[in-house]
Amino acid sequence: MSQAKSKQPDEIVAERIILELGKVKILSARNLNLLREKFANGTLSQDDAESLFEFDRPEGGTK
Amino acid sequence: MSSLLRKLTIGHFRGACQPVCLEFKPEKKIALISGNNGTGKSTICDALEMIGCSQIGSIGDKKFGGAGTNKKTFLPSLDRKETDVKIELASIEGNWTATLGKKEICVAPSSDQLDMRVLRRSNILRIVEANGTDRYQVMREFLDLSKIEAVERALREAATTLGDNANSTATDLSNSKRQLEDLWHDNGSKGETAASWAATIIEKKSAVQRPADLKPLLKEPKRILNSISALNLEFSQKQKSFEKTAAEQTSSDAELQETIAQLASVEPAGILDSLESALQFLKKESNAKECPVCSTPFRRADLISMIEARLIKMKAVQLASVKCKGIEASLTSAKSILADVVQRKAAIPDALTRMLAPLQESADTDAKMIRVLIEDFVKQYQTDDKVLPEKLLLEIEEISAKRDKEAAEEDAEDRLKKQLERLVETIASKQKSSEEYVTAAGKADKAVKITENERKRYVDEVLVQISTEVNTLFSRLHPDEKLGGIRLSVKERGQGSVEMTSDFHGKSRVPPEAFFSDSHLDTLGICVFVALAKANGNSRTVLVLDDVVSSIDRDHLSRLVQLISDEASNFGHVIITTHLEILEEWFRHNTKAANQTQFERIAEWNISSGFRFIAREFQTDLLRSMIGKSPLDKSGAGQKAGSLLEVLLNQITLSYRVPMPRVSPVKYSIGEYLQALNREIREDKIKVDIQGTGKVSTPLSQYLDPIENTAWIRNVVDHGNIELNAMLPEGDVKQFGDLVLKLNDEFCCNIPEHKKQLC
Repeated sequence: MSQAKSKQPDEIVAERIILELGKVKILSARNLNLLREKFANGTLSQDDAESLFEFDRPEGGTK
Repeated sequence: MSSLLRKLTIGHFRGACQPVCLEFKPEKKIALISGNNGTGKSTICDALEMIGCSQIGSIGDKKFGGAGTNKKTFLPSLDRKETDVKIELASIEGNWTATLGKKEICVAPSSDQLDMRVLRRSNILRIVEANGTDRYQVMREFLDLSKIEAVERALREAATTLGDNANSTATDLSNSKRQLEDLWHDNGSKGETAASWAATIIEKKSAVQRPADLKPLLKEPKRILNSISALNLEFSQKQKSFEKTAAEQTSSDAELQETIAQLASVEPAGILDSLESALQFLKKESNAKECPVCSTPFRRADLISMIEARLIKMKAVQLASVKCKGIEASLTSAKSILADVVQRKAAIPDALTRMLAPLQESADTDAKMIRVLIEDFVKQYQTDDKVLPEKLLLEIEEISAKRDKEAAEEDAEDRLKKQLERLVETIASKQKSSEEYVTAAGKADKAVKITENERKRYVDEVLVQISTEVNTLFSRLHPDEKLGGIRLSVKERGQGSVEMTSDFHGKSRVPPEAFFSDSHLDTLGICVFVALAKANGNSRTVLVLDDVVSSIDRDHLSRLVQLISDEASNFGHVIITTHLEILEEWFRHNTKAANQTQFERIAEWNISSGFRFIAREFQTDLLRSMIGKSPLDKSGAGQKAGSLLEVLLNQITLSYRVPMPRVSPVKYSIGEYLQALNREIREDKIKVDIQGTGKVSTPLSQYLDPIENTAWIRNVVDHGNIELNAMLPEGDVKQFGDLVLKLNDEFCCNIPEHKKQLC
């Protein structure tokens, strides 16, 4: 009897952020995917976040 | 629509000292739980919050104990342990059980908990009277941005760390550059810049190959040379010793010869043994008086003295002889030692020559020079073994010192070169890192800004929607009052802060807490809460209002009841607790509210049994039950039917706006009501809306005319006359009750699919 699960506010905001980040190309496509995944469960750690912007690291990889 | 909750069981939790169970009626969307203060209403709401939100409920908002107080320990009923607490909730969506774990509240299953929204008076104050940050804290529970906020926090921390890294790398870079500058100045500031000077030094190759270290090669020759002096000294000493011994031998020999010559002139040869035998004989024979050989008489003592004197002289020769032999032995030894020293001195040239072999192999100029010097010395030594090596050793030391100095200079250059290499490498590396960190920090800052802006934009949009909804709800509670225009917005510069303004009698954008009455603020808080819950509400949402109505007057309360009954369909279930009997009254008198409300009353609480629910029945149900029984309680049923008829006629006259005479207090009899409802009105139609079947019209006279014929029964039973009462036919009382119930059912049907509303 439960209603179809609607999009939660977290998901809506995450999509908007991902869209904006994609527009300004701050992150690569792979990093955007990682961020999207971490947004989904709210588990982005500081290390993860640093690895998104740091150099000489494989894209999407973590420390 | 069926309601969400089915059954709530609370065991040993707060006021529920004994397990208590509340069964929800499937056809009732609203559960109104009334009870006096301190009977356990909040316990029910706290139990729902615990099982739905894993929160400790109302005591979480209260300030007591200190910072380290674990409020969870106060959740069990008095004299109960945390492990005794158990809350069970059954619903059409599933069943859950909540217990108190060692550290936290445990809800099983932990997934898909219901969306429980609990509003307390403290929340209302936080919504309407608190500062923007506290207001945001209440609202964020509804906005459900926890994951985004967690990600935003991680991004912010990353941006900070990257920024810090950029700063510290820039500092390191600056320090390294300063170090290079200092070195440049210390070394005479050659070249145009420190960097170009460093590049020149680094590029410069070592001019000459570092000469081999001669110290190991010179170690043994130097040891031999150093031994020459000692050997010479030793030779000199040994030679002196030998010469002295030889002289002593000569002297000793002469002395012996002289002694022998002197003795030979006075003593015959070979007499020594005879004298010693004679002396031995005389000492032994103490009575001897004459010679045993020739019998010549003698005096023994004199003879012994004479013999001993002669023997002493003869012993001196013996001693001199022994001395001579000793000196001769010493001489032989000294000669041998001297020969050894001589031999060792003689071996020096060969030893030195052997040690020169490695020097001969070296192409080093200094090595060659040292070799020549040593060879010259060897030649000289072979000629004169008394020659001393001090001059040679001094020359060797000078050459070594010169070489050490050169080596030290070369080492300093090497060190500088290596230091510069490291420094230049560090500068290049830090320069690269610094640029990369600056870029990364910039990107991270931008990402944080985007995240923050998008979150704020979303919250703002939601708040605009909620503001609209709040205004709609608020205007329904306060029609024709010049207040409203509620605006909720995220503060421009405040992170996680919500500002609320309103209009008040022409003044716009004023803080409502400055102008609104307490009652208005209460209803505003309820409207904001309902709007927030509605924004994300669905059939899994349970709206819980925990005794939130206290200062609201009758008219507003009536509208609030209407509003709640109108909005209940947006939620899975609405639970309301109240200590106000008037609220319950309004729920009962509002047709729509009464139709969808389950009324529960809590009995007085006591420490041994906690609280329990008292059955609350509709007057219509009681009447229906009474007239169904045999034998009929004519008095009771007649009175019940009469009082219910009064309520119904009051409602009809109000609905039809029937003029009634002004009386104080407002109290009319059934006869007065029926008189006011004249023929013209009775022939009008009762406009009813049967859901799903369209509109049907029924004349009011159809119900009122038969009732008018039987209403006298009310007067009989009310009169209290036992004889009249006894004469009253059961059938007439039953008919009166049936007619009243029929009228009631026409206005207020309990069957959901036949729900009707008075227009």
